[in-house]
Amino acid sequence: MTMLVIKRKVNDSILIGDNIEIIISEISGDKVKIAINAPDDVKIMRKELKETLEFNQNAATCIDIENLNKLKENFKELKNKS
Amino acid sequence: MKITTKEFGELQVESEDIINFVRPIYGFEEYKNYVILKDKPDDDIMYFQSIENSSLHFVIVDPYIIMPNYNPEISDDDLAELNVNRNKIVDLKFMLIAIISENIENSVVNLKSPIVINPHNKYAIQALVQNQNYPLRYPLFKKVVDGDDNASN
Repeated sequence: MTMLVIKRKVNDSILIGDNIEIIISEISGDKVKIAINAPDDVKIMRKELKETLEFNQNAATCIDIENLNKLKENFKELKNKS
Repeated sequence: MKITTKEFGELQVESEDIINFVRPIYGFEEYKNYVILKDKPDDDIMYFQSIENSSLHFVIVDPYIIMPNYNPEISDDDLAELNVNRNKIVDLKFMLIAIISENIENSVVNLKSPIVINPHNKYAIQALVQNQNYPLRYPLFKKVVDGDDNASN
């Protein structure tokens, strides 16, 4: 997979495939407002939100209480040392 | 009220201790109510137990133990969800969700998306903070092991 980099102005748009349009709607400072036209079945999500969701799922499933108790002890010891 | 938990058995929970997610934890949209559990009163590492799902709990950590000057920027929309004014922002309580790894030294906390609690109404959200330098995976032991808090600068 390669990365395409292009310059666009406000109100310009980009087409992805046949059904997805991305419109640069507003630019101010370091923020850009983007409008997206896409079919309902296309999932659109901020990347950091998806990463957070995956983090949460890992956090909820990988808990071994015995290991955690060990960690709490280590944590206290290290804290007392510092 | 009495709640049943898989890991901690049956617990008595006071209704004023129940934290109410006005925007649920991402990926756990069906569960809105949680309670904080501690093994000992001075524990920095705590559990966040779902009221509705007996087997769902997260490990949470007080951010100030990891990074004493943790200062997340919360958006106006998030403050509105918590029903708090910007001038009351100091009241907000933050908790970091941890992933506890089998090799405990590899355990990480999420500085990017803390749990934010308004202690006055017990409303909570998981915020995506604006700070560019707060990573999603930050070593739980970094501060305690080598005293390094460069990431907070």
